[in-house]
Parts: sequence; structure tokens; C-alpha cells
Amino acid sequence: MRIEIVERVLKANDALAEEVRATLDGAGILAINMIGSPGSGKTALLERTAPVMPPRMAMGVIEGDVATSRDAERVGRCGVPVVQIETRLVGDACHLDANLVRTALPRLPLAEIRVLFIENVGNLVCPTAYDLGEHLRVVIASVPEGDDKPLKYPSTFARASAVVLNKIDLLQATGFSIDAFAAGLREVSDAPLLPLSARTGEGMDAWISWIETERKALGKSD
Amino acid sequence: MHEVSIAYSLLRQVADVAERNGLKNVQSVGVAVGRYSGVVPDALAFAFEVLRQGPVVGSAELEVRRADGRELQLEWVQGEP
Repeated sequence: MRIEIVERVLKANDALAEEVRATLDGAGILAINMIGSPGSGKTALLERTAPVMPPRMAMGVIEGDVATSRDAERVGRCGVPVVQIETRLVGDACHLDANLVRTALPRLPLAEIRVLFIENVGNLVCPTAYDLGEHLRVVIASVPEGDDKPLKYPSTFARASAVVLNKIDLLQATGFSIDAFAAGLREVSDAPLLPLSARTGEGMDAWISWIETERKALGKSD
Repeated sequence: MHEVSIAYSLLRQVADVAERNGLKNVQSVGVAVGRYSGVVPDALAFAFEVLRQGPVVGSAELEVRRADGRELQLEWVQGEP
């Protein structure tokens, strides 16, 4: 006997993700899932974002790492509400899932937060399949990783709402071609490309205005 | 390596389908895996083989249909009542 069905394989995760999204929508919060390799500068971008976020977009952060609360401490020093998820406590998971985010939400002052950044575990592959209940997904790539990454990790880049290219202060030293990176990205996605340097602050304006524009488009601005 | 947790979810969904439809022994399971799903079919098949156990799904074979988009779907379950 053959039973025909059509069911998303991660439907248990997806159901929890919908629950997270409903909680966030109820609180008027925009959530951004940040995916990138270890060392791409996800945490540095958040540190650089905190002081320039306008008060109407007060930010909060969920940090995902396999081990340590170093990133939460770094972001916390910027005066931002932050919760650390350590996946070594749940089997060294190589990605966050909707249940981990759901259990982290009550530990944040949601009423004070308008934009919630969820920094995924540093990994360009595994986080892709998991909806966390976010509204937007940003892939953070960086210049030293090389300009061929969109073509090498198409699933990850194909699902991005925007792609941040970090560490553009290293362009000259590495021979990285933004044109080649952009051309590779265009093959898999029409997501906007935001080149910036979290170290020098160059390009941060475009990053903040992209968030603001998307927030308005999603009806999240007051 | 996330294919292990995906195979685990898949096996639980298959067991649910079997129970709802009164299947005592699942012979094969059809899934669609899109090229942008973020899932490697071979890794999923390997994890499925390692994790399957018990009288209902213990001998189930996984049949992967490769698709073009982002889909990751359970499409059919075949077994004996």
C-alpha cells in the first residue's frame, strides 16, 4: 500500500518557527537570521551596528555558538540585551533551530526590542535548512573567504534576503574581486549586496537603511 | 552533518504516517530534495540508514527524488498493513 502525501520534512521545526514568528509579530519585532562562516565578522557587525541603530529600531540579540558565551559578552558590552545559546548543551548542534530560539525569547525584554538579530552558529551550510521564525535572512560573507563563495554554497546564498560582504578594508591585500562575487551571487539570487567593513565603519549606512526599508515594507515601523 | 537531525525528523514523520494509515511495516519512503534545500541527498540517505530502527521503519528504504528548487518534502510512504 502506497500512501501519497506532501509534507515538509522539517515540519516540527516549521511549526515552532511559526510560533516564534507569531510571538515576534505580536511584539512588533523584526527578526533577522544572520548566517555566515566562523570569522566572517557576524559579531563584529553587531558591535558596529549597536551604536548607530536609531532608537526607533532598538536592537536585541540572540547569540548561537557551539561553546562559550564570548559573543554574548562582546555584544552585551555595547549595552544591548542579549541571550547566548550554547549548542554544546544540546549535542553540539551545527545550527540553531526554532526550538532553541523559542526557549531563548522569554529571556529577552521583548517590549524594549524592535529589531532582533539572531546570530546563527558559524557555518555556511547547516543553518540553511532551518527556519527560526525570522522575517529576513542575511548571509555575511567576508573578503578573505574568497570571491567564489556564492557559487560554492548556492543553497545558502539563494535563500538570503540580503548579502553583507564584510572586511572590504582588505580588498587590496587579498585581490578579491567584488565584480566576480556579485556575478556569482546574481546566478543564484537577486538579493541586494551590501559591501561594508565592520572594522572601519565604511558601508554601515547602507546596512542600516536596508534594515529600515525592509522593516517598513513588512509593516513593522510605528 | 545536519542531515542526521533531518533524517531523525523524517523518520518520526514516517512513523506518524504509518500509524495514521495502519501500516505495520514500511518498505520504502519517497522524499524530494531540491538542489537549493541545503541538504545533501547522499548524506541524508546515510543518516536515514543509520537511524532507522524498530518494527515499523527499521527496514525502510529511502528513495530520493532530486528536484530543482528549495523543496525538502516527504512525498509518499509504502508499506504493508
